[in-house]
Amino acid sequence: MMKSLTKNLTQQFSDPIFNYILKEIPPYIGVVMLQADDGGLIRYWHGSLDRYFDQQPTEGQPIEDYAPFLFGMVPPLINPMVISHVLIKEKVYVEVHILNDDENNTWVILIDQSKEVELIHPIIQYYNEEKLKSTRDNKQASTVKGTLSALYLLDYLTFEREKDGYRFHGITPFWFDQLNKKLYSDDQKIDLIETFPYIEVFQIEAEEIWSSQYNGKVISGLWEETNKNGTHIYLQALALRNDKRNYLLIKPSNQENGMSDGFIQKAREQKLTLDQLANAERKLKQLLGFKDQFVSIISHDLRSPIGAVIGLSELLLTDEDLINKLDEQQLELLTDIKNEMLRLLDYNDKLYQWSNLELGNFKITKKPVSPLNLANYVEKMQSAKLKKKNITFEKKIDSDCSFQADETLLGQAINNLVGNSVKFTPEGGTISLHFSNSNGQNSIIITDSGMGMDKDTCERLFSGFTRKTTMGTFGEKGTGLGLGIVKKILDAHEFTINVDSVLGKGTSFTIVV
Amino acid sequence: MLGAFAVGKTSLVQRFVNSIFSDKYHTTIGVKIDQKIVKVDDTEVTLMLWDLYGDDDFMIVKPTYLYGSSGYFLVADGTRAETLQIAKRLQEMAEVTTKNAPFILLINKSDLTEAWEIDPEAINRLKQSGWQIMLTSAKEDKMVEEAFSLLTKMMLEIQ
Repeated sequence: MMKSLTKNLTQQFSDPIFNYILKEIPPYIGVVMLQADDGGLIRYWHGSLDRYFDQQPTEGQPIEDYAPFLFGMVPPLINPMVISHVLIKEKVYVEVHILNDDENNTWVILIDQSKEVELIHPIIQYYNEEKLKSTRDNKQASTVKGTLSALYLLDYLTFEREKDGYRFHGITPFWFDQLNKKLYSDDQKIDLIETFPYIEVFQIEAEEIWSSQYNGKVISGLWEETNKNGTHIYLQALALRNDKRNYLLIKPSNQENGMSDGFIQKAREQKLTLDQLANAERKLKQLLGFKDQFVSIISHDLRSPIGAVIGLSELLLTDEDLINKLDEQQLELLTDIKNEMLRLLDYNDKLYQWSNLELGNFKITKKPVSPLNLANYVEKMQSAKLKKKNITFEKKIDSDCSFQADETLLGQAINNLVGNSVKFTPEGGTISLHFSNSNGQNSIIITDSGMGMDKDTCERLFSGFTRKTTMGTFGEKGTGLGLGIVKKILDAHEFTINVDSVLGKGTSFTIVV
Repeated sequence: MLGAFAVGKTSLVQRFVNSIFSDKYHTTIGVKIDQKIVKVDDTEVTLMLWDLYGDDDFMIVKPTYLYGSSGYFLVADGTRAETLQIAKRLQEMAEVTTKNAPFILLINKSDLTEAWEIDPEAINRLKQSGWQIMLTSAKEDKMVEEAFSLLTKMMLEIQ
């Protein structure tokens, strides 16, 4: 018989179910199986069911209708769920195994324990009576037949809800005995709310099930209790209505909740950390905003006094009577004052532009631009320096090069780039400004025959304000702001810039528009 | 105790009931019910304190927890402005479920003033609309006892 059963099992059952049967189910005669789908409808059965049931099941029949002792247990609350010594009809006791497979089918395996119960019943009876005697409160022995009477074996504290209170069934499970709690009773009824105040609220939800005409169940949220040793335990209640009788089951939360506890703890810790980071970022941005505002105000206010000193130095340098009285060194000092103040003004202007760009105090007004106007503007702005270093400035404009930009800001950016090329191109060199259209792609290319840059310098070029500046070929000093301003302007236009440079040969900047 | 997560609901209850405080954040899962007997004007009152899990996307506080409550604390974290918005939302739910039971808004973590985010103007506006508001610190035991005593008095006045 076992051989044919095994053959049958291997053909019809998935590996986990088959392995479970082989390992966990004792080789008793009288093993029967029922299989239900994820909706609790019977799909398959095996074995001599007439030993346990008065009639054969039909395919598609709700399993709880066919086997009422399974009520509330399909799908199983824990997987697998094993309940021993369940009285399913007169003098017939079974061990019930309920398990889910990977496809959410529920398998119910029944093993006959009638003989075993017959043998050990007097011992169990004696044991339970002794245990009941020893409990301080007047707990009630089980009067419920079927699965519910044995739920304490699965750690459930089991009550039946009656009109005027709760009736306790079975014995208290181990976890309850560890709590700083007791069951308060009054005339055989348990004052469950005195023990678990949480139930007062859960009752509201449960009453909807309990007062219904139909069978049903509702599960509570978790609540926390403290053990005698100070540790904590989470509990959960299950309200059931079955065959016009109402039950309340209480059990410690299972492993799954333990996992979700850890998950939520971690997720919330992460959220707190992210919030703290976001706060720090917001405050930092606020501080940077204050800094830029401060720089903007100071650089704006410094323009007038710097301009006044330049004006005064120019006045002195054009005063022939004064110049005639000065010796060569004094004249040089006066010229130095003017030149240094001009440099300070240039630096101050760039600082002002920079801080305003950082603050976003500018609006991009994109309009079709004239490449020729831009090229002429840049040439004019750089003419004095180009002439001083005898640099050839070449302009090349492709006839089909046309695009939209903020002409003033883009002019400023190109001027900074060309100014940079002038600074690093030796005397007699060449700089070209090319407005290009290649296969429909517009770009502005500034190429010089200057000293070039190494890879590291190229990578740091547009990072903004830098303390490290390189002297030009004529010893020109930089502000460290020029290329940072270029990048800000191009970013605002959503243009990109690439740099290609060879040390000792020259550099080429390409703005892709 | 109603409020967003990590605002200090459990810390306030533990400070009040057991006079303890822990800096370590341990999220509350479900509900923790504590009991404390307080004396208000020679009347002994047994408070059943329901410390509810924090409301967020993971766990939404169910209105059923508020049925039958005589009063409630809304708890916000002064260093996290959004927790005040959550407290306001929870108050709307609680107002209906508890049928206008008295409540106090506790803005907790008053010891962290340098990281304070809740705008004093927002607090003033709520005060002007009739909300009872207290700044508490479970960590430094500031205004905790006073808050529970005041809410108890408010609940007794309604009874």
